[in-house]
Amino acid sequence: MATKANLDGARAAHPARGRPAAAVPARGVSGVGRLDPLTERPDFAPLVRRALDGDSSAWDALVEGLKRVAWKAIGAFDLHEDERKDAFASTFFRLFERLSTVRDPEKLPGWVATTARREASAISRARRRLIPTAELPTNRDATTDDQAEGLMDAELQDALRRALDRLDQSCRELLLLLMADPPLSYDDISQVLGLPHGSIGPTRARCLAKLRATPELAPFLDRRVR
Amino acid sequence: MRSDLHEDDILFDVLRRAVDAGDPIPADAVMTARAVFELSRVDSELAQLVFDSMADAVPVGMRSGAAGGARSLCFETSALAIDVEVLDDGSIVGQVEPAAVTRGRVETTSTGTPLLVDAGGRFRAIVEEPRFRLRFELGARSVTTPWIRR
Repeated sequence: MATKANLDGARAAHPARGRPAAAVPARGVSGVGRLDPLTERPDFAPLVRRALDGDSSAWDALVEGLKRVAWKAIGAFDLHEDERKDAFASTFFRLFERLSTVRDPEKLPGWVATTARREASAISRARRRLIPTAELPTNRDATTDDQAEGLMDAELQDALRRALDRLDQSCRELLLLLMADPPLSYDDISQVLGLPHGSIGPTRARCLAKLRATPELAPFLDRRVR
Repeated sequence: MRSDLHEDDILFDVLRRAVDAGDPIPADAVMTARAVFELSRVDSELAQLVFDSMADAVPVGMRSGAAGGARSLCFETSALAIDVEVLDDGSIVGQVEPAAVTRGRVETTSTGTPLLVDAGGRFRAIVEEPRFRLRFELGARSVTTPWIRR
């Protein structure tokens, strides 16, 4: 089982990848519900090696370990469900093509995020030639699954998702990438989005403020505070 | 009413859970990603992509995108050069050089169909799935392109 201890251990081994303390506590709490010994902190290097040697189970494990990063990176784009799946598949086709050139498996999540973003963006651009975006139905699945989430009611979850959809794409991208699993460091995110490292924290705060200011969240916020 | 949502870290954490619960990764998408392993095995020579109008700047002197939104791609191996244009309606037209290929094939992630190549090396096909690759036989050699997303 991957425990918090060995997660911290993995972080400690790469001090340059640590992110500001403010971002860390949120991760520790939320990850607990779906910890997976393989995916929470996978060691990608042996998986890459074994997949290149023809071991399909190692490839499956790579998909398992990187699928959430890819899906989050794609999620910020205004795409139909089929297009999102297509961008997701393309990302893994690209990963397979490049597998033999991976020099630093630690950087795979960042590479996957960049590639997924590029694929989603290409599909979005190609589609925009054909259909005005205003006519597109929303891509978000409104179903909620909060059985395990005793703390949060479905209405708030739903409001949060609609509020996120309302934000501009750069905010959606940053927030979704900050949620990536395995986590992307600020360095990774800086590379993926082309943002200066130092602006990530302030931008996150600004995007969260925008989220709070949406009409969707108004009923849930206690105005007496602040 | 929740006063704690004024805290950035709490709001972010609650948002993350909302996103994870409301936007699960479709199982069939994961299946396709897994299948990439088998689909990407090639028992013949893999042609290298040398030009993609969607990714590369168009070289001086070359027409950009022959027909409206057509995407043009060029692949090469030591034995074969393959030019392909992918049109918006899903048809692909192209030419292979030398024209002496004995057999062609279009493969998608679910099927493979013969591709007719004329005496001049020209070919044409309709592809309905989002992804395909081409395979040509030239004497005893066979050459396959990487997967192309149309």
